[in-house]
Amino acid sequence: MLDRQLTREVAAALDGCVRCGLCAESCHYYAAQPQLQNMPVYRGEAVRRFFHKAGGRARGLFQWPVKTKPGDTASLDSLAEMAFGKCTLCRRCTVNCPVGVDTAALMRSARSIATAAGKAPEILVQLADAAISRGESMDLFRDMLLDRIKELEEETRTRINDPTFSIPVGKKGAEMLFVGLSGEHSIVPPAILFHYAGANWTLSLFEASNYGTFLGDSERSKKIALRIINEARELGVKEVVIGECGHAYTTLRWEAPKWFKEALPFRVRSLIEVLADWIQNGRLVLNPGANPDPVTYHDSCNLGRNGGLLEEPRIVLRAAVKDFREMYPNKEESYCCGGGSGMAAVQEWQERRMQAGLPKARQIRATGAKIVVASCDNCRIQLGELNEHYNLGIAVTGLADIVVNAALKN
Amino acid sequence: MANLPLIILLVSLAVALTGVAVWIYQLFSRPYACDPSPSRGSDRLGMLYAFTIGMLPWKKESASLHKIVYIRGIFFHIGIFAGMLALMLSIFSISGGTVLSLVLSILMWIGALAGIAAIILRAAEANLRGISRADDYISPALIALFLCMGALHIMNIIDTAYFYAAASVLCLYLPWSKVRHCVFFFFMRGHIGAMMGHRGLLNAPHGHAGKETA
Repeated sequence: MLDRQLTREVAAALDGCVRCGLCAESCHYYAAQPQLQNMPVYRGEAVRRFFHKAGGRARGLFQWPVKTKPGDTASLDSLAEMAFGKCTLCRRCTVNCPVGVDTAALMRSARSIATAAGKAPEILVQLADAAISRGESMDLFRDMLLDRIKELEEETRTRINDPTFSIPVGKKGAEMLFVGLSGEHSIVPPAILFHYAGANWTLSLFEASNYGTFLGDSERSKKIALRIINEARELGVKEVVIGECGHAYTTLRWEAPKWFKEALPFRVRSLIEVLADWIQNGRLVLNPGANPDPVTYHDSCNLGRNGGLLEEPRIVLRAAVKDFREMYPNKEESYCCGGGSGMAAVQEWQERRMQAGLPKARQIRATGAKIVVASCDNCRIQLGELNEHYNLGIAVTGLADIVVNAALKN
Repeated sequence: MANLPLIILLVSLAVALTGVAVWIYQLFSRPYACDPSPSRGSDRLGMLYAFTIGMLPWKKESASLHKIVYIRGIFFHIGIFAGMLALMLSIFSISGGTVLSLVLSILMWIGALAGIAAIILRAAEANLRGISRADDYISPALIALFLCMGALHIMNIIDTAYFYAAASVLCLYLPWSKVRHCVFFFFMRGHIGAMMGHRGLLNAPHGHAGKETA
């Protein structure tokens, strides 16, 4: 197991760190609480010691760090706690490391080890396994889902006053397969925009989330991703569009081809890219006056720093709102909200999440914005809780919701 | 036996180079997942960026927040390269001329001071002390010693044997020390740069790290 985790990236990150400590402030945990244990290098050292103790690596001459008890952080329990509960794999420390040590890769391998040892948070395992079961027995869920979609169609026809509105499911010959999240909030606004833009689309029976990724469990991740890949193959779509979810986009767009060792037989895009395209080529016409309040955008780490979608959400927002304000720092230097990589799903870490979200709360407050747009469900949950915890006085919404407000039917 | 220091140095150099070769072999024998996903940018430009513009202090929040530490590191490494050049010139009995000798000795003195500063800064800061190993003090100390000896040798204050002795100790220690990051640095920065380029992070105007509000 350990040997399998020791990829070239992980091996380099294990042996390449010079412990300069320059990464400290790049971590939102450290920015909120400047303590030794919150330094990315400290966490990296814990993983290093674990590998060294377990015999996975040739030992250096001097392995001992000061101020850590032998066996403390090297134990599986504390390694799991650190990997899942003290790092959101946001990669901000990697971008800021002068040497390029990918501490997130180390923490991901620690998650893999912890998951294999049965030490991962139970809720993440349950969510991943539920997604796999759903894929294996879709017939049990299909009718229930289709009934709910019919109801949503009716409600939305009334809402937008358009009897021609529809949410197609399982439509062969569709160009685009849209994969939302588990929740109507992630399906209705994009469906309205697809309708306005005259897209030839169909809705996936599955949700985009892939909790196997959070677990660092490539077998579970592959099974979850395969549900969507097989569905897209069967329908013969040209592209799969992932709804507003950071890790789901990064997983299918960037990681899945590595697991399957080949490019997927269709294009994968985020809803954000599609909207930016349509706005730029005039397929979607917006009235920014419909969103007069000051709006700021939170760069999800998975969509932005890890996914490359830095400019697209800004293209959308500049067209959709009257007063767009940036947070600083932003884009690839943006702070994690503190809820990433499964943290938002683990209730017992709520207090820790609020603490880790302090840098983001400060950033939001400094913009003076009334609305924070986040194109990731985990971020939205976390930002909503930060809003209450720090009394930010904001509304948190998704990008598609803001665009629906401003969209004019062609 | 006049050549004894040189022989010891050459043996030590061979040990160092063998150590580096072993590290490179070990690294490249590990599995590496190629990325077959369609690119949104350019892997090569990403790598180029990582080794050029991406290294500039104002391009990194970490460097701009710790300017002194970052600049110290740059001078330290410049000093090391000057020391390596001085060592090669000495081994091959090449006279670099007065100007080159003066430049090398100045760079080596600065590098040595930067190495000593590294030790002091590490010892003075509680969190840095907390993440440090003995090697974090020994490595810069040995390098500082090597640079001092080199500078003194170039200035004709000490005999070549002292310079070679310091270089030999450093070479023998190198494969087991953090100095080996010289191997991993190129892979790690190249890998991250290629990933950033591949995923299109360089396509957009870069994020603003200047106006810190957090």
